[in-house]
Amino acid sequence: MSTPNEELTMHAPAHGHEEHHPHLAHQFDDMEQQTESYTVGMWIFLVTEVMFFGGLFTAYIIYRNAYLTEFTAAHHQLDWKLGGLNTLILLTSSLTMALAVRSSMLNRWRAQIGFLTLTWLGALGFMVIKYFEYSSKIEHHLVPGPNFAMEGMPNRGAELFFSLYFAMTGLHGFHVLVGMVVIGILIVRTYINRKKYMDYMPIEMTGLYWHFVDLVWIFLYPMLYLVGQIDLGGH
Amino acid sequence: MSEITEQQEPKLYAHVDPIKDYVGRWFILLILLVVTVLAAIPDLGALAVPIAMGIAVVKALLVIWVFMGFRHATKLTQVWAAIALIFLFTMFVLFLGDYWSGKDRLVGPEGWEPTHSTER
Repeated sequence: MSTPNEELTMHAPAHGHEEHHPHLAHQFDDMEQQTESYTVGMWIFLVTEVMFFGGLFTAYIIYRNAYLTEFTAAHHQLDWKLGGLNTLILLTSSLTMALAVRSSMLNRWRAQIGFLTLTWLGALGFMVIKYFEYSSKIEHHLVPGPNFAMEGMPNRGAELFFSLYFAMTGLHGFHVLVGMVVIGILIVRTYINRKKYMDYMPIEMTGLYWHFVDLVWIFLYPMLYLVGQIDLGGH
Repeated sequence: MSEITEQQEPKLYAHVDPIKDYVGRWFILLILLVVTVLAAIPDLGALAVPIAMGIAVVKALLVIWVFMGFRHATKLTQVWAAIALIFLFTMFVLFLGDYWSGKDRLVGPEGWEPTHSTER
C-alpha cells in the first residue's frame, strides 16, 4: 500500500516541486487532488457495493410482499435482542473507526492503534453473536434445504425468508470478516511505521468501507428483525 | 513515508472535527436505535414499514454525513455518493414496477416460479 508513494516521492525533486508533500505521488498536482482521487475511487467501489446488496434488498421487498404471512411468522424466529446488540456494537465500532481516522490525521499513533483495536474487537463481538444466532438456526432446522422444518407453514415462503436471511446476513458477515483482516493489517502497519509521518488515506478508506458495512446493517436490522412486530416476552 | 520532522504536526489537508461531534452523533444513533425497537412493539399496520425504514434512512444519513465525512467531501465525491442512490432507486423502480404491475405478477401463490411461463 505504501510503496508507490515512497518510490514516487523519491523522484519528486526531479520534476521541480520544491515543497513537495512527502506523500504526494507525482501524477497529482497537490494533496487535495490526491485525496479526492482516493476518496472518489473508494466511493465508486461503494456504488458497486450498494448495487450488490441492493439486488438482495429488492428480492426481499418483492418476496415479503408476495408471502407477507410467512415472512412475518419466520421473522419471529429471529432474536431481536441479539440483532439489537449487534446494531449497538456496529454503531459503536463506527464511532471508534471515525476516531481512529481522526487520530491518524493528527499523527497520534497510540490513539490510532487503540481505536483500531476497539473497532476490531467490535467486529469480533459482532461475529461471535452472529455465530450463536446461526447455530441456533441450524439447531432449529431453519436452514433452507431438505432439513428445513417450520411448523404450520402452508408453502415455502418461510424457507424463502431464511434463504434471504442467510444470503444477506452472510454476505454482510463476510464484509465484516474482510474488515477485520484490513483493520488488523492497519494495526500492524501503524505500529511498524509509528516513528514515521504516515499518510492518513489508507485508514480513511478503511473507515469509509467500515461505515458502509454499518450502513447495510442499519437497514438489515429493522427489515429482518423488527418489521412485523417483536415479542417482548419471547426468546 | 518520511521521518517526522515536526512532531504532532496535523496534516493540514485534512478536516479534523472535534471529538464531541462524533460522540454526539453516535449518541443520537443510539437513541434512534431505541426508537426503532420501541416502534416495533405496537401493531402499526401499514405504517410499520415506512416508520422503520424512515428511521433507518435518518440513521444512514447521520453515518454518511458525519462518520463518512460527506459534509467535508468535494463536489465530485458527493456526486458519486448521489449516484449510488440514483442507481439503487432506478433498480427499485424498474424491478418493483415490473413485479407489481397487476395481472402479470411473476410471483404466484405456489412458489417463486413465473406463473405464466406456459402461456407463451
